[in-house]
Amino acid sequence: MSGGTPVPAGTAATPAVPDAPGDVPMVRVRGVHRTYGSGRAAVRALRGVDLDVAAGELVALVGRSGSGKTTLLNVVGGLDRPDAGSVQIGGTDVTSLDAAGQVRLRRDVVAFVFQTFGLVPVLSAAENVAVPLRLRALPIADRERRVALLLRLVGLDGHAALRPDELSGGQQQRVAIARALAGSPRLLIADEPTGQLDTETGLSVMALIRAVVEAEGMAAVVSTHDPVMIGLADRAVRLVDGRVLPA
Amino acid sequence: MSAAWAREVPALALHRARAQASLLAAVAATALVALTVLAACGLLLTEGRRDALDTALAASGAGGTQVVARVVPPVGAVADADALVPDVGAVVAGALAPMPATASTWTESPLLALAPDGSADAGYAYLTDAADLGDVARLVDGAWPDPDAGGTAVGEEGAVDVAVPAATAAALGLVPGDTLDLTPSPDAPAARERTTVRVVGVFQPLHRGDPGTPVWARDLLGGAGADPDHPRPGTSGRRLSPAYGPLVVAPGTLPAAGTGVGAVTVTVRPETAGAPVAGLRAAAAAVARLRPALADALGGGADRVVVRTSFPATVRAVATQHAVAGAAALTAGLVSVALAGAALVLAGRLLAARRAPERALLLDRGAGRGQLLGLAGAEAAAVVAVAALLAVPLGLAGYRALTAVPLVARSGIGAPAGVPACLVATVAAGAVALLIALVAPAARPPGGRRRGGTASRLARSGGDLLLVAVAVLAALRLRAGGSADAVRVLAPVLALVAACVVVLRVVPLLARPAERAARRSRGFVLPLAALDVARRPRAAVALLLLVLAAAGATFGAGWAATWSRSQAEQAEALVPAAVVASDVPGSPTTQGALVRAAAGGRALPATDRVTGFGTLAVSGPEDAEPRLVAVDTGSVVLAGRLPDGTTWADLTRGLAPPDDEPAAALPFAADGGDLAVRVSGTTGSGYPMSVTPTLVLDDGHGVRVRALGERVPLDGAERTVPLSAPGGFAAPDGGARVLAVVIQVSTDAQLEEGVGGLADVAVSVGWDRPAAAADPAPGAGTWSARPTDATLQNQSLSDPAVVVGPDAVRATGEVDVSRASYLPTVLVLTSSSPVPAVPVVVTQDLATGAGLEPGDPLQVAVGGTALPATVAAVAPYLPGAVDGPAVLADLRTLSRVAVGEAETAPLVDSWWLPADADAAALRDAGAAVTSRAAVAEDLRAGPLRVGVLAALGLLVVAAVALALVGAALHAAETAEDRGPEVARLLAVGAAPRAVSATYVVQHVVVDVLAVAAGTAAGALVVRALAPALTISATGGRPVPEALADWSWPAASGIAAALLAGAAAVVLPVVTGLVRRASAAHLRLGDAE
Repeated sequence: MSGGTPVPAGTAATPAVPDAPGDVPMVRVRGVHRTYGSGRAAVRALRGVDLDVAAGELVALVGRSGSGKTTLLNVVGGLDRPDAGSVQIGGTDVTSLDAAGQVRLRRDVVAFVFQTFGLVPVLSAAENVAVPLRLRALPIADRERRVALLLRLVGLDGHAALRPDELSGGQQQRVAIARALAGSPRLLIADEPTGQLDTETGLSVMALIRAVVEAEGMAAVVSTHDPVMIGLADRAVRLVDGRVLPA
Repeated sequence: MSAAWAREVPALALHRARAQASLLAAVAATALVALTVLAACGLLLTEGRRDALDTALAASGAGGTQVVARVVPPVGAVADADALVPDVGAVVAGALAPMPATASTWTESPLLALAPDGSADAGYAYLTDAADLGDVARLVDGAWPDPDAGGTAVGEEGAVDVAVPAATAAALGLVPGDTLDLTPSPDAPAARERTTVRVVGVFQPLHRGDPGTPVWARDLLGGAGADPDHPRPGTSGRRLSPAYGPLVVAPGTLPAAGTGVGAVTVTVRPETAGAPVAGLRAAAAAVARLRPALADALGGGADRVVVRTSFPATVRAVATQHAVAGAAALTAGLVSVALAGAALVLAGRLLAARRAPERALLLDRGAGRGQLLGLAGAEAAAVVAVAALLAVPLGLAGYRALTAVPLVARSGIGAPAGVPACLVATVAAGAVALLIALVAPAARPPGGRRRGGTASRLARSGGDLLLVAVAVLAALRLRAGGSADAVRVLAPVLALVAACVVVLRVVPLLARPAERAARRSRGFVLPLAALDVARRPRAAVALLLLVLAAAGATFGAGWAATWSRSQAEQAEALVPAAVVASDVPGSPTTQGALVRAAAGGRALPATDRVTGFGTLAVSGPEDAEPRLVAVDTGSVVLAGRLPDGTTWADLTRGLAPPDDEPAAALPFAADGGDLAVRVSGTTGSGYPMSVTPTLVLDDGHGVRVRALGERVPLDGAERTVPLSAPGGFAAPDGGARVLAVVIQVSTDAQLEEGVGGLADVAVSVGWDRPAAAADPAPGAGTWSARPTDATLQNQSLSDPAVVVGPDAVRATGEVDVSRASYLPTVLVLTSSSPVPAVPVVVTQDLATGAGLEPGDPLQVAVGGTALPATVAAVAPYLPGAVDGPAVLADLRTLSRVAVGEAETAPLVDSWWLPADADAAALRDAGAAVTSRAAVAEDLRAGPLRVGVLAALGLLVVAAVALALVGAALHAAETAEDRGPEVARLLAVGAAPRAVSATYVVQHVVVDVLAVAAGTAAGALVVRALAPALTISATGGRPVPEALADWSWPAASGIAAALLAGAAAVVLPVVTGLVRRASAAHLRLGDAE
């Protein structure tokens, strides 16, 4: 695996979020609240969360199930909107983006890696990796070149034609990471990326994420329970009942 | 656990139903549509066919169902009608039992001579006691005989009051008040030596040619009133004499006339309404055996028994059509059931998928699979019960709507008054089947939905191959003429399903090019949709549903189109002109004046009669009689499709005569109405000789009659001889011409062979010519004199010659005096050049049966003469003669050859008229009128036949409805599976609109492929089977052979409806799917 290989940038459209000034964290979360339901059945998933993540920093989000990790990741990634508070990525408040802006944010700035891998079952590994590039309408030759490069990066250059159900869990997650990197995002969000992997495979996946973050200088927020994984992060942020515990 | 479980089931089921109310509503709606379609099919199959059967039998009229038994007592016996009638009636009624029947009786006297000495010189007449004559005869003069008036004393005995037919009155010169003495024939003695009748009325028989009211079939002369060539009593038909009648007496007064009974005719009309098909078949079989049964029952009381009835043929045709209509309804029902089953399986799978998690949970908690199946069964039973309860009124309403369609309503199929038991039974049976289809998916073991490996695929392929093989066998059996109901039903259903299974295998192949293109493309929506279509085949059941629906609907439309086209073609073949008038009263020339007036001058005379082909043995249908059809082939445009691009013009080329003989015809003055010629002649013989002239006259419109003269001595004196043209001669435009003169020379003494030697005979026949006629007549020099074939054989004439003047012909020849004493020497003087034989087109069955080929000779009987003919061509059928051996000739050629053989009897049997002919006027005049359009409509949408169209229409509607329901269910099932995938695509930056578009494109592509494949399958089955499923009015193969008819508008409309409906269903489902996709889906794995 060539974890430190520099990743060539794709041809991006107008970015949803401009490059942040040097002293501004890539991710700035302030006073974010998120409640599901209402009345007596209401579940307060986030209660005034504050969080900063710098470019090139890998932050491990730690907490028990139900502590609000996934909700925070969804809010930061633009998949969910907070009830109160703000989320800035590269200095831009993403909570105020319209629907099109949200789409551009997910396409150009933020990339996700899911616990269940999130691959499209009918597409091969290469085609899954190519989905973000198709969304950017990259020329075919450039797309194929970049897909090949990314698969080589994650050590699956011999598995390009295989479908997800023909790959192991670890291989699927590597494909998911390659797909996440395809659009050259500035923020990588991974929700329990090793949750369905054995320890050894999980460790290699986490190492891959670590290497990519270092090589690309992107920010990364990864939720995990695994102490080994936590050890690979630059720092860990603990969530308890929707609140960030002081370090 | 069981007791607790039993307590929990209702609450659990109720709770789950509340939570999944919309899903259950969709399933119930599917079941409702399926059961409603089934209910309507069931009603069509039972109530509809019952109504149609009754209507069809009623529409066949009395002629189609009545049984006429004519019993002739032994010659010379003075039979007692009162004793004969009950016996005959009992036997006939017994054959028709248990159907109730009504009977009426006509009693005829024997033929009574008009001559005082009982000889045949003046002909015969007969009396008839006919009680129910008022409806079928119109009084034109005088009054009907009054039963209470009794007789009027004439001489020693009372005269019997009678009403006579107009034709009898005209022939015998009778008017009310006249009396007539009738004398028993030596072969038919009566109680009285003389019966005097007094004419009190003159009537015109009505509806003689109407098959719906064949009351005149009971009459000895069929209502004609006069027959110049009737078999003379006691001669077994070897000698002929004129016969007149019936002289209708007052009801019940025939015994008082003392004539004895010549024949008793009992007419029994069964009440067929409500009779089952099996009962009708049994009665038909008994009626077919009725003649020997009557003979046995009557013993010596009957010398001859004749049974005239169309009942067996009517029942055979009606029963066959009943079966075919039933087969169509069953086919529609079975295809609908297959579609409904597929839709229900989809619904069951959707239910099972939605409940899989809770099922797994319950299993984990210890619930048994049987308990869960029971729960699923209870819920499904409730859903199906609700659907069934609603399906009964909805099915009834749908059926009522179907019977309100004008085409169906006209056929007599009506809506039932209440709720028929068969409707409830159909819905109940359907509900049970649907219940099984709903519960079956829940019975699968967890994880059992995934297909197996190679063994499973092999098993599926083997099953498909077996299905295709069985379908091919059934199709071959049907095409080979298999008429069993099971074959009629199963062949199309199997063919449809097999064709759909085959095309299902082909559809994925079509997606491969799209997949390759998608891999090499740059965009997102279309390539992703194409890749998805190619690699994630839609659930086989859903695809099968759409393919089968498209196939079923297009097959229904194609079969209906084939059926309708074939019926129109059959009508063209059955009815040779737009309107055909037959039984027109009068002679051909007076008929011509009448029909030309009714048809704007566009009327073609035609010969259409039973004939004989000499000694040729021919094959054909059991009851088919050889037919002769002749028409002016130069003027007529024959309709009816021929195979292989052959046209009637090709076949009839060469039938017409080589020249146009009226140019040489001589003008004839017929203005006064009385026809006469001046005849003189000489003979060099010492023995008395005489001549009988006959003129063949043309009315100026190509219509000919014969005018018969009386015998005139050849003594050198010129005599004016009146001519008799039976039925009259009319040349309203003054264009009468003499086409031919037949001179019959006889020696008026019986001489031994060789006695008298040869005599130079010269005969002149002259007539008055119109004042305006040209002088001399153009072409007169082309007349010729020829002996007939019989005279040639007799060698009684030599050196015949003719000299033609402007208003006379003079024939000369040498006659053998002795041979002319026992067989008249006949010389034919014609204005036309000789035609040695009639070129004819023969039917294929005649050619096959008699081994005939073009150029072969044959004989065609016309009147009492066998005319020489040659085969010009062979046709699969002839216009107006579709079901037996027949020949087609040119009427002018036939007439010329017939006249050449001195066969001058009229050849006109019917008239071919244009569509706008005034049929009402012709009917008023007593003619039978047949309209090709009416026949076509009756063939296409007669009472039993409209059932086929109704069933096919129902199939189209059911297929489209069930396909749309299935599309909705499948879309819902897809939405269940695709939530996580949509969320992932949105998470990687795909716009919601692009994701929606991807899924819509996927559905549209698959739908288009499925509909196209289904349409292709439907077209294939239409081409292969629709012609074999199409039948004639008598239940046989249509003539001409049916051709598959593909209606592009109908097929396009069905495809458009399916695609638009599917799109209308899919759009909201996909939009909702994308809208509901949330981050929560991202934590879910793939459904499969």
